[in-house]
Amino acid sequence: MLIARDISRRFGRTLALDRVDFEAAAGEIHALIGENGAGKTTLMNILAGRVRPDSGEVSLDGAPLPAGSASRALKAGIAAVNQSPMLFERFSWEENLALGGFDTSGFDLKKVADRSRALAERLGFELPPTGASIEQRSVADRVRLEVLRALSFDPRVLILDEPTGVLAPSELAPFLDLLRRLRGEGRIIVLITHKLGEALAVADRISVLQKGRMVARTIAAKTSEAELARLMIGQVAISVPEAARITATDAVALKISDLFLNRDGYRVLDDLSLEVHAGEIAGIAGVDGNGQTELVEILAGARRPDAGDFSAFENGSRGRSSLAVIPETRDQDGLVLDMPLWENLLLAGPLLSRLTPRGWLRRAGAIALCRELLARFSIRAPGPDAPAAALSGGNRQRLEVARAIACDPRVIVAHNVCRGLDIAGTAEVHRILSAFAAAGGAVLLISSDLEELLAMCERLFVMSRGRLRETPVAERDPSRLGLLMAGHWK
Amino acid sequence: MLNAFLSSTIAMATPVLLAALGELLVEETGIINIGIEGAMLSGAFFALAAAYFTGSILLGLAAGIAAGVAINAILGVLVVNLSVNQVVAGTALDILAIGITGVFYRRFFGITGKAFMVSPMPRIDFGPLTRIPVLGALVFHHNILVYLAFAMVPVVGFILWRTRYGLMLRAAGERPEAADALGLGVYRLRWHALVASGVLSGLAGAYLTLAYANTFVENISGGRGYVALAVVILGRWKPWEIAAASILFGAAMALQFGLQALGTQVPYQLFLALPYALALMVLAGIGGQAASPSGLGEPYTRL
Ligand SMILES: Nc1ncnc2c1ncn2[C@@H]1O[C@H](COP(=O)(O)OP(=O)(O)O)[C@@H](O)[C@H]1O
Ligand SMILES: [Mg+2]
Repeated sequence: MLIARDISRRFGRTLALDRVDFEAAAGEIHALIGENGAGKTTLMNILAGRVRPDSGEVSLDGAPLPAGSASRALKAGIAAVNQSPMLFERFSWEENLALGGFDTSGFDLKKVADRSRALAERLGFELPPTGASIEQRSVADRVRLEVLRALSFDPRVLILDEPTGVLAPSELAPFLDLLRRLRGEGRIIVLITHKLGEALAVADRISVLQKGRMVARTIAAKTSEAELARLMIGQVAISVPEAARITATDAVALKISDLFLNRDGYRVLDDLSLEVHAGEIAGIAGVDGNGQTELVEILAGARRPDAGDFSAFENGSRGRSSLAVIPETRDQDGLVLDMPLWENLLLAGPLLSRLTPRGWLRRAGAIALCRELLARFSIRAPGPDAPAAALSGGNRQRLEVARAIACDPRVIVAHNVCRGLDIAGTAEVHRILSAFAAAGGAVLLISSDLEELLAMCERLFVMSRGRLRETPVAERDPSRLGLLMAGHWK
Repeated sequence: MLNAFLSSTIAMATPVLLAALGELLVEETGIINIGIEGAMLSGAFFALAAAYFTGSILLGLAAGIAAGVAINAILGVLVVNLSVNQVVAGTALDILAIGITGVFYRRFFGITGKAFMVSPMPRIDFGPLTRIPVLGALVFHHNILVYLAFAMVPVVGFILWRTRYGLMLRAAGERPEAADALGLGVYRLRWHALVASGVLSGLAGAYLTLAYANTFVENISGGRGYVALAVVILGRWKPWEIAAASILFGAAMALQFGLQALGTQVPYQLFLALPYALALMVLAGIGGQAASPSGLGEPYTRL
């Protein structure tokens, strides 16, 4: 019996886990489900001794485990397979496995390879040729190698973090069979996933995390996808925002037509079309990883679609310069943290050309604009000369929204723009976007936060596996939306 | 003339090789140790001071090693446990070492003007072998530290690429969070490498004062620690290639001495710059294809 009691862990301002209890018994497959950011990975890392909890303890078969020691957790028999494989790229696969649990006395890589092959055969895996490095292998190969490495410890508990996300559909059934076989050997299997169907198909019991709290533990045979979806999403207020309804017009501001995108043989965007009108905030809901990032990259001009096109319109004429995109990974894509705030403004093309007439930088003009934006959007910052790193997360996000609006666009595309913000910061960003729409702008809000979308958008779409579906107001109850997000279009 | 050149080449290559092998070890665990110059300089001073006051070369070597390890231990606390920027911490230690050795040197020896000399470390007596042409001067003409340095080349190579422990060290430098997830203990592995490197750079420093100059002058290491950093890149993180690169540097040093001794009209500073210019040139030619550990220089904090 694997038991975790009263586990809490905070990362900065985020309370990733809030007094969570968890248990899984020998001979069961226990699914741990939850939306993105619910805290699933953090819980796994704590169980496996990779992350130290702020409070709470973990025990296996009655024996308490020391907090934050991966080697002790492995010795006790807890092995974990990471969401993105944790392999050593420049090492051969044998070397990667030699760092696992096989007896490697004498450092005989051939012996490691032999034992790996024996284990792989039992599991129905195929292994790369001798001495091949990891770099060239496919993602599915890597997952298999990491599962193999975890099993080399002959663990009593095997935790897998969304292992099926990277498997091709044809690889899924054999993989679930493998989990059942491991369960048959009396091991404890913890399967982390946000795919409800998968959890119901293979698990004995299911625990549901929601925003860092454990909200339910049910027996798989006694529940349904609709119930799980509702548990995952939680209570959300269903309302139609008045402001957006009043200002929406018939003029199309952004038109996306028939976008297709393939990657690694998968269809990432599948015939995606959408119109956003001047004066409205349209929303796209969905579990992360269903093509949202790629869609935003295409709109930002950072990626080419395989087919399809999009245009932004102003007074009926085309012009892409009037489209501003606020990408999701802010610290990496949007701001240069070491640069002063006013220089960060210049990173936006329209502002750069406006502030560098004939190639000369109008430093005073840039600083004045920066000062004006700081005041207008109540961004708390020491001044235009402060580096972006000096701003809190919420103020960085406001600065990015402010910069987008300063470019005087007709359309703003914002992706997970309020993720990680506190309530006041979220309200402020929402107010700015609403004001932009009320003044005749068009906003496309892409978010994995359903509550945000329900509060902001009159027209709401759900994105799943690269496809879009509009949800009329009548359809907006949590379990229905949960099913749509899980890809059940009916 | 040729004999002097060959023997001097090996003599100059030795301290660089010792330091570079230590640097290879720490770099394989993901740390770039700019402080190596400071460890070498401290080793040089404290080795000489201990040998001078006790009259024992052995105690001198021990003091040199202790000084090298002490400098690396400071670095370890800063970059391993506190995740301070490695370049900043290392550079600070270099400056610290110049200060400390300078202050002590002036305090003990500067005022009296007394000669701060020790008798040189003895050469190993190979009898008639020493008189073999070329080979005699190249191979059978040195003290124990020279042979130790070259013997370390296969030893370091074996540890890094033929043992599970070496694989663990490399894993810590390749992807520390993955190594920690496997329970390998990244902090511990990095400390091991830092201590080993402290021993080797302390010895390299001790070599400069006890075996080469037989005295101390301020900043006697004179950038050899930095050369060791370059030599690791030149040698593409492979021990034998690092040995070859060290010899190349030693040869440039020896050539520089030879050219100075000829007494030409050319300003001697030009000759002094020769080994460093050569290192730069080869680095520019070869550097692009270097194969450094993936996590080199990245600060890593356990969660
Ligand atoms: N190392 C970290 N630093 C800061 N925040 C983190 C870190 N790891 C996780 N978080 C935050 O904790 C929350 C839970 O994350 P995670 O456990 O990865 O969720 P899940 O796996 O369910 O998607 C998220 O809000 C995430 O941003
Ligand atoms: Mg996760």
